[in-house]
Amino acid sequence: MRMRNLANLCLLRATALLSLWLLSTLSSCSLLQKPTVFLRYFCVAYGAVQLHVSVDVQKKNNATNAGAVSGRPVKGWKISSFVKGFLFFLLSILSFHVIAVLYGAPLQEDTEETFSWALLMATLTALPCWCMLGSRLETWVAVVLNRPESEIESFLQTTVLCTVVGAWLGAFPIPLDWDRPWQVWPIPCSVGALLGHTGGLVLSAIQAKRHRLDTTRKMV
Amino acid sequence: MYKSHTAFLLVCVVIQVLGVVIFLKGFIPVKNAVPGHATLLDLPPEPWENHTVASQSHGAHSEDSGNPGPLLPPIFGRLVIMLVDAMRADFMYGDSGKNFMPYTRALVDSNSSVSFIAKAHPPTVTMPRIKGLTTGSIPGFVDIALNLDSKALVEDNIITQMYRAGRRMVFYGDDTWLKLFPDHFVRYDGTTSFFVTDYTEVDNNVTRHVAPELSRTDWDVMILHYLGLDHIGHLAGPASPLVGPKLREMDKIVETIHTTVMEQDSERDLPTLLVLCGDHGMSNAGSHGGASAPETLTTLVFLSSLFSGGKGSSHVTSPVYQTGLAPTLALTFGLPVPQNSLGQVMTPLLARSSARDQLRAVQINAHQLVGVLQANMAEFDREPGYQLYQQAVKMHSGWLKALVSGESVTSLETLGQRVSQQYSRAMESIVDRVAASLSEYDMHAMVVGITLLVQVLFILLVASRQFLTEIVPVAEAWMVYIPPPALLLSSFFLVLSAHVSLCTSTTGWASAELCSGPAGWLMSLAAVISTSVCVSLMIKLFFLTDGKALISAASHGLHMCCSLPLEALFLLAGVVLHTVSLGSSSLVEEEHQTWYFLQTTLFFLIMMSNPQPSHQQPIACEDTTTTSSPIDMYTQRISLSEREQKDDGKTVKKTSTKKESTLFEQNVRSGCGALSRQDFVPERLRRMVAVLVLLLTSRLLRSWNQTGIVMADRPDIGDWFVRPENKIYLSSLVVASFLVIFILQWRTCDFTSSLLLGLGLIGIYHYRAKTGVLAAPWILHTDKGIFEARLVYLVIIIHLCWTCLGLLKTWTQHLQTENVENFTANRDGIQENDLRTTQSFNKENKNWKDSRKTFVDGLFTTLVLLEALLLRPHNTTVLAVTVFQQYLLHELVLPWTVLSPSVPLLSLLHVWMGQAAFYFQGNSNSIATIDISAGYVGMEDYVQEVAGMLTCLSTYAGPFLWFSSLLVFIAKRYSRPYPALLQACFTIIITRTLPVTAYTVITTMQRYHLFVWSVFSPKLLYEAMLTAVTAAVVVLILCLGVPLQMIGTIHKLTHTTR
Ligand SMILES: [Zn+2]
Ligand SMILES: [Zn+2]
Repeated sequence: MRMRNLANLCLLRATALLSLWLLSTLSSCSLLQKPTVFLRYFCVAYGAVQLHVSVDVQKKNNATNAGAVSGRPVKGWKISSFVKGFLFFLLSILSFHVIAVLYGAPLQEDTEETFSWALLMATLTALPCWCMLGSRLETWVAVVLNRPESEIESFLQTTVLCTVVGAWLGAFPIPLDWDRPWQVWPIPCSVGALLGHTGGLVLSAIQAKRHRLDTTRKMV
Repeated sequence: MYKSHTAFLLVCVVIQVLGVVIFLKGFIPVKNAVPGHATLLDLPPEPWENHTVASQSHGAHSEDSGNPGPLLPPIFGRLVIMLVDAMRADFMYGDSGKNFMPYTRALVDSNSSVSFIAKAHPPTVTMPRIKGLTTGSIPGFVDIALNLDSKALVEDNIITQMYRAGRRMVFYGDDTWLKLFPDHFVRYDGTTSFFVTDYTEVDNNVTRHVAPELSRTDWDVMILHYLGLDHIGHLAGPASPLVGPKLREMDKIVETIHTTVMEQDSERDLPTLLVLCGDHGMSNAGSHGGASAPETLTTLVFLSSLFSGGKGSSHVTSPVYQTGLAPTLALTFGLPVPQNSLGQVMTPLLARSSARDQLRAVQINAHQLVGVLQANMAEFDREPGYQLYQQAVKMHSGWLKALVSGESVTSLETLGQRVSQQYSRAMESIVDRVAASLSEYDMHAMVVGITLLVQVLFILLVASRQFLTEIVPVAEAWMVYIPPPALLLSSFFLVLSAHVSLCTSTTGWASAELCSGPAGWLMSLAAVISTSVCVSLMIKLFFLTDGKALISAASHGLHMCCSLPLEALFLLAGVVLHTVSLGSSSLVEEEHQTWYFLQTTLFFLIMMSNPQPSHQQPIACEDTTTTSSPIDMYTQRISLSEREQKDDGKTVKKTSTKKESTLFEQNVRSGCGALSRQDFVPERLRRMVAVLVLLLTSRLLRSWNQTGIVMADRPDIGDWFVRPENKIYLSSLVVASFLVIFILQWRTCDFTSSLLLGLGLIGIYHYRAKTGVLAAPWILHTDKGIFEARLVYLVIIIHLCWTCLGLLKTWTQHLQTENVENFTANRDGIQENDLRTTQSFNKENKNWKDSRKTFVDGLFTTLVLLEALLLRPHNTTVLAVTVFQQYLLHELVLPWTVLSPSVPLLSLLHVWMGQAAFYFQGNSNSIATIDISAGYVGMEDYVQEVAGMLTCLSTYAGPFLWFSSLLVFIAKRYSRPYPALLQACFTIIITRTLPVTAYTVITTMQRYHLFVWSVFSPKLLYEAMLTAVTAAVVVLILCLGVPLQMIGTIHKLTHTTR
C-alpha cells in the first residue's frame, strides 16, 4: 500500500513542480527575468505542496499504525518539535548559503540571489526530510549519507542527492563566455537543482514501482 | 633495486619534455626578417613609361636596380615623440579626454591635428610595442617570452634610420629604449619601471628635461616616454581618481611643447612634428598584455604648425594599425622605410604635399611591402597582392604620363585617387598575406611532438599496474619493458628513414624546425631515438608478451577504479574533467574556476565521507618494513569487494553511489573488531571542522587575488593592501604572515633551523622595508635593497647546507656503527650477535627515520623562506595560508581519510592543491599576470638566467610548495619511502602528460581559432612551463630518493645476511 503511495507521491510532486514552473514562465516573473522573485514564490508554493502531501502520508501512517519509519519514531506535530524543525530548516538555508559562498559566490554582492538559491535548495532537500522524518537533524543527515533502510529513506536519499548533483552540474555553464542572460548566478544552479529534483522524483517513482513488483512477485 | 623503475620514469620525463619542446617549436611560427637596413638606393624608380613595368625586376633585391628614383622631399624637420605608456584611446577621445586633456582635445576637435585610434598588435606589452612602433613589424609570439630580455634591436627600424641619416636624438623616459637603441642618443636619462608603486617620480624625471631641451636647438629628434599612467593603471585601474590629474599633467606637457615648437617653427625651414601616442592600452582592471579592445586601442595624435588653424584633418574613427607609424615617419622625414615594416603609411599626414609626392610615397611604401612579401613567400609573384601592386604601378605610370601631357587638374585628381586606392588595396593584400603566414604552422614538428607525447602517455598507462599496485623490487618483473636490441635498432632505422624522407620531400611536410640547421638535426635525432624506443616498446608489449597480461592489466585497472571510494573516484574524474575543460577557450581563460570548483567539491566529499580509523593508517604504513612494499588500499579493497560480492551479489548491485563508503565502513567494522560508528564521532567532528577551515581559507585566498578575465576587474583584498595609503596595514599583514609561518615551521625544525628561519624572515621584512614597500621607522633611505636581499639568500643557503649536513651526519654515524657491528659480529658468537643487531637495527632505523624527517622538513622550510623572499609582500599571506593548509591537511584531515594510505591518491590531491595555489597567487593563463619583479630581487641589474629562474620559482610557488609537502608527508609517514616516492613520481608524471598531450592536440585542432594568439598560445606556454617544472621536480625527487634508498638497502642487506 505504502509503496504504491510513494510512487504516486513522487509523480504527483514532479507534476506539481513542472506545472509551477510552467505557470511562472507564463506569468511575468519567470526564472530568467526575476530569478529572486521567482525562487521565492516557487519555494512557498512547492513547500505548501510538500506539506500537504506529507501531512497526508503521516496521517495514513498514523492510521495504519506503521508510523515508525524503520525504527525511527515519527513525532506528531507538536509545537516544540515544529519550532525545532523550523530552526533546522533555517539552519539548512544558512548552510546552503555558506556552501554557495565557499564555492565562490560573492560574499557582499548578490546576497539576495545567493539567499534565494539557498532557499530553493533547502526547500528541495531539507523540507522533504523535515516533513517525512520529523525534526531530528541527525536523522536527516544519516538518511542522506548512509544506506537507506526503507522506502521513504531511499526516496529521500535519491531526491536529495539528485538535487545536489543537479545544482553542482548547473555550475558548469557559468564561466563560459556565451554572454547569455541565463548564465548569470543563481539561474543555472537553480535550473540544475530543479531538473535534478524532478529527475530524482521520477527515479524514485520508478524505484518504488519496481520494488513493489519485486515484492509482489516474491509473495506469489 | 628500483633502478629499472627509476630509469623508466626518467626516460618518460625526458621524452615528455622533448615532445613538448618539439611541438612548441613547430607551433610558434618563425618570422623571416630581412637583415640589414634599407638605404635610399633601395628606392624604386618612379614608374615613367620608358621603364617597362613587366620587365622591371624588383628593385630592392636585384643586382641591376639601375638608378634609384628621386628622393621624397621631407615634410617635417624636427620630431618630438611623446609616448605615454598605456594611453588608451578613450583617455583622449572619450569623456576623460574632454575633462582632463582640454588643450589636446580642442586641437583634435578643431581639426588642427591629424588624429587616429591606433590599434596595437598583441602582445600588448611595452617592449614588443616599442619594437612594433619603431620597426613597423608584427612581433612574433616568441617576443613575449623574450620580453624580459632587452637586447639591442637589430631589425631595421626608424630610430636607426634617423641615426644613420645623421639626426641628433635625445631621449628621456623608460630605459627600455636605451637598451634597444644603445649609442643612438646624444643626451639621455633613463628611468626604470622598477618601482611600479611610483607614479610621480618617474614622470618628473622626464619632465624636468623638457624645458631645457626645448631651449636648445641642437637636436632633431626628441623622444619622451612617460611611465606614470601605466603605473597608476597597474596600481588602481583606469577608473582610479589618480588618472585624471595624470592626464591633465600630460596635457600640460603637450601644451608646453606644442606652443614652444610653434613659436620656433617660424624661424625654421621645415615645421616640427609632435607625436602623442600610447604604446598599448589598459584593460578595465588596469593590466595589459592581451588582445581585448581596451588593451589594443591607443591614442595617436600628430600635431604640427602645418595643421594648426583647422588645416589638419578630422579625427579618423576607424582604427589604423600602430605599425603604420614607422613608414609614416620615414616617408614624411624623407627616409627609407624600415625593411621589415608591415605598416601602411597614414595618408592624411601627406595631404598637404603635392599629388605626385603623395603617389610617390605610397609607391615606396608598397614597394617595400613587396620586399617583405618576397622574404616570406617562396613564390611571391603569384600572390594576388603582388599582381595588384603591378597593376598599381602601371596605373601610376599612366598618371605620370597624364601629368606631363597636361591634363586638367580635376581629372588628374580623380585618376590620382584611383591609383592611390589601387596601391592601398595591394598593400592591404600583402599585409594580410604576410600576417597570415606569420601564423603558419610547422605541422611536421607538431605531429612529431604530439606523437612523442601520446606514446609516453600510452607507455605510462601500460606501466600503471606496476606502479600503482605494488612495486616489486626485483629486476625480472621489468624485463618485460626492456626491448631487445634488434627490435630497437630496426625500429630506429624505420623511424629515421621515415623522418628523412619527410624532410626531403617536396610536399610541404619538410619541417623548417626539424630539418634544417645543426639544432634542428640534433632535435630530430633525439626525436627519432625516443620514437624508436617507444615504438619498439609498444611492439614488444603487443606482440611478444602475453596478450592476456595486457587485457588483465586493463581489467584490473578498471576494477581498481570501480572499487574506489567516492572522494578517490572524484580525484580521478577531476583530472579527466579538467583535461576536457581545456577544449573551451573561456574555460582556459577561467581555468582557476575549474580548480577552485574541483578543490571545493573534493573537500566537501572528504568532509562527508565516513571516517577512517586513525590507528589503521600507521599500521598500513609500518607494515611496509616487513612486507617490503606499501600495502595499498586498492588490493585490500578489491579483495574486500570480491568477498562482498560472493556474500551477497544483490546488495552490491543495488547500491549505487554510496556503495563503497558503506562497504569500507563494514570492512572497518569487521577488520578492527567491534568498532561502532559512535567511536568515530569526535574524530569525525574534528576532521569536519578542519575541512571547514580548509574551505574557508581557500575561499579567502580566492578573493585575495581575483584572476582570469571576467573577475579580474573586481577589487580584491590584495589590491586593497597594495594601495600606498594602506602601507601600515600591509606591513602588519606581512608581520602576521611571517609569525604564522614561523610558528608552524618551528614545530618541526630544530633550534638552528628555526633560528635561521627567524633570521631569514626578519631579513625579508627588512629588505621589503628598504625598497619602500613596507613601513619601518628605522629605515630612512630607500633603495633597491640589494644587500639585504643577498643576506637573505645567504641565510637560505646556510639553511640548506645545515639541512643536508644533518642527513650526512646520520649517514656517517650509521656507517661507523656498521663497522663496529661488523667487528663485534666477527668477534662474538652468532646467537649473541643476533639479539644485539636486531636491537641496534631497530634503534638505528628509528634514528634514521628521525633524521629523514628533519631533512625533508628542512628542505620544505628552505623553500618557504625562498618563496617568502620572492613573492610580493601581500602574497606572503598566501604563502602563510598555504603552509597552514598543509598543516591542517597533513595533521588533522589526511590521517583519517581513505586517501592517506594510497600514494597515488595522495599525490593527486597534492597536485590539485598545487594547481589551486598557483591561481591563489594571482596567476592566470595570460602572460600579463607574471610577476617579473621577482627576477630582480637582490640583483644589481638584469641577468637573464637568474631572472628567469627566480621568476619561475615565484610564479610556480604554489606547485613547488605542494610538491615538496608531498615529499614531507611521504618521508614522514612511510617507513620505506622510496617505493612510495616512485609511485608519487609516476602519478605526477601521468597527471601532467594527460593534460599536456590533450592540450597539444586541442591547439593543433584550434590553430585557426580567433583566440589562438590571445588564449591558446599563452596557455600552451604555461603548460609547457609547468611540464618543465614538473619534470625538474620529478628528477629532483628521484635524485633525493636515491641516497635514502641506498641506506635503506644497506640496512636490509646487513640485516638479512645475518
Ligand atoms: Zn607600456
Ligand atoms: Zn604596464
